[in-house]
Amino acid sequence: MHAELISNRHFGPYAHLTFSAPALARRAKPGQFVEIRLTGGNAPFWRRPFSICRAGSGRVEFLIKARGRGSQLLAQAAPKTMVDMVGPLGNGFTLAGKQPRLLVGGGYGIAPMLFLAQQLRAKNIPVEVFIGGRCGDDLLLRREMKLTGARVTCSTEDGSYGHTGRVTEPLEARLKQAKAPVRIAACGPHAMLKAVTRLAAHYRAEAEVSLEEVMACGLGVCNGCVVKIKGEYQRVCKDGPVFQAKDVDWHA
Amino acid sequence: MRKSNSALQVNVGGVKLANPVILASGTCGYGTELEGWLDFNTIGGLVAKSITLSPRTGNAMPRVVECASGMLNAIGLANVGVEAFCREKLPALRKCPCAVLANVAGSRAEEYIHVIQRLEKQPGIAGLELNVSCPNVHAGGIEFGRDPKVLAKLVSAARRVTRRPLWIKLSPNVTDIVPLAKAAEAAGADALTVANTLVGMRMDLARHRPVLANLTGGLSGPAIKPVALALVYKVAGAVKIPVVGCGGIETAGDALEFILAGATAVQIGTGTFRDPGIPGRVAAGLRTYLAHRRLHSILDLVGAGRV
Ligand SMILES: Cc1cc2nc3c(=O)[nH]c(=O)nc-3n(C[C@H](O)[C@H](O)[C@H](O)COP(=O)(O)OP(=O)(O)OC[C@H]3O[C@@H](n4cnc5c(N)ncnc54)[C@H](O)[C@@H]3O)c2cc1C
Ligand SMILES: Cc1cc2nc3c(=O)[nH]c(=O)nc-3n(C[C@H](O)[C@H](O)[C@H](O)COP(=O)(O)O)c2cc1C
Repeated sequence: MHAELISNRHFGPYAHLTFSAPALARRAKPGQFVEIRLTGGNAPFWRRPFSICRAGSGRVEFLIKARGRGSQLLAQAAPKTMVDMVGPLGNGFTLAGKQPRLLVGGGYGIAPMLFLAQQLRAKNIPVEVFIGGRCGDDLLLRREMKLTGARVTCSTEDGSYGHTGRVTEPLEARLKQAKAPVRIAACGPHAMLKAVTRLAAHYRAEAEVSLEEVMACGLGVCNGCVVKIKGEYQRVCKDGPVFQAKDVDWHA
Repeated sequence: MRKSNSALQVNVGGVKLANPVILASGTCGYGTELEGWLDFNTIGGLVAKSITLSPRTGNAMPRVVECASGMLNAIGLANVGVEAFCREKLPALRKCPCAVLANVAGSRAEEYIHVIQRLEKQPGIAGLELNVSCPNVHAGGIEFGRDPKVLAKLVSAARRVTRRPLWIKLSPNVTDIVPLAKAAEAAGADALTVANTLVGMRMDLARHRPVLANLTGGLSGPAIKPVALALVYKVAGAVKIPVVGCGGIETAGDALEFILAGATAVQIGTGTFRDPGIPGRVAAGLRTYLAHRRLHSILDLVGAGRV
């Protein structure tokens, strides 16, 4: 389906894009993604997958880091640009359950967490968000997160903002204090997700992680984006991208 | 709802199709995955993912990579195996409003035969396509697709155990495709699909290693269209059974090129990945083209471009 770009705000290498896409906005769930086709031509050849950062009122938002050609094209797109979207795709995070949630986002991994925080807050579930990055410029959506009523803790590896160190350090401090069961949701670099999984196991918290793989079809037909889950290949695009952290085979 | 329009009806070696557009094996899963993204009333048929006797998990990752105007895949025939196919996948496939073909692969001739026999009594399969051309499995179907004698033996054996229309999907990775096409025809094939993917490779500049864990993969998409078209032209000139064109088709114009070269129907693979609306638009475009040209049947165009 076609979607029109309404606004595109830039933050360093990141862009926050808002599209008009009513049908998509109605059906979207936190943790799902959209496959975006950027050109009518053959380069890039495939669509590119991006997590839904927020959806509602006929609009769908994305937070995009300019990396290669595809994400650059999108990050630089001017308002009124029409793009072709397939989605929403994938399973999404668990919304059921009243446990307080700890949401962990590294870099653009914070994108799906905003949508998740919003929906959890709408159900009056306490939400704490841990935002991490290399430097202050990588700490995205801080203001939007606070507006949901979530508590926000930031960390940077270079110490330019918030806690100095990795995002998993304040997360561990929080888990140590936990008196009642909490549930974790995380999205970000592989190493971060692995560390979150280790912490969740150690502190006996349930955790869900959103994984990334290069995708050819995004629809579950090609079996190109598989990961080992409980020893068996599953498709990130259709069976995921959200998996129970304890089921992921991080060494495969 | 299916639009009835006899102008696009074709019969491909006993498989009746409402229009000549078919989804290629391995690019439409077992049908259900594409529900909601693709209207099966708009296409003629689909070929399910290759099935083998036992389930296969496929090759190591990475399995897919992009390239100029196409992609490489080395999925390695990951599939649920024939038992689970019959039990879990066929019931939903039977409800498909288009013709459904099963695609069979194997490492040994007996494996193909066992799978065909297991499928034989299952209702709801309009025909069989034998994959003798998968480039991504070691000691895989490709061996059957390279040697006319070996291929003839396999096709005759298959012919003896099935009454269903039997299509053979040929490999483009051969010096001369004509002897293989003729061998399959003489051994009892009802139609030939031309062709599977071309062997290709990409290097990873960071790791100084091939990108794909399998080292090579099968090239598909617009990059291979001229190659597939030339092969269809050659094969259609050498056999009397129908030819199904496959390789890089994304528009009605692409499909028409194959039809003019001698294809009775076409398969679309990678095009569906790029846009699941493509197969339906190709069929609609063929209809429009016939109307513009005041032609009563697509059959008037089959082979019309041959000299
Ligand atoms: C489910 C899912 C959700 C995603 N959500 C977001 C998001 O919200 N915001 C965002 O900025 N990015 C997101 N990504 C990653 C994004 O899809 C890739 O950055 C993008 O496809 C790269 O394309 P490119 O043409 O810019 O770069 P390319 O030139 O294709 O590649 C640049 C680099 O990115 C890597 N890459 C390519 N494709 C992917 C991919 N699908 N996943 C991971 N790495 C890849 C390449 O290996 C290479 O190192 C998501 C990926 C997935 C699978
Ligand atoms: C991801 C992928 C998986 C495929 N799997 C199969 C398969 O299981 N069996 C088969 O006969 N062909 C398989 N093919 C080949 C396609 O059916 C088709 O012949 C080929 O992709 C060329 O057509 P296209 O350019 O339209 O994609 C596969 C192709 C792709 C891209």
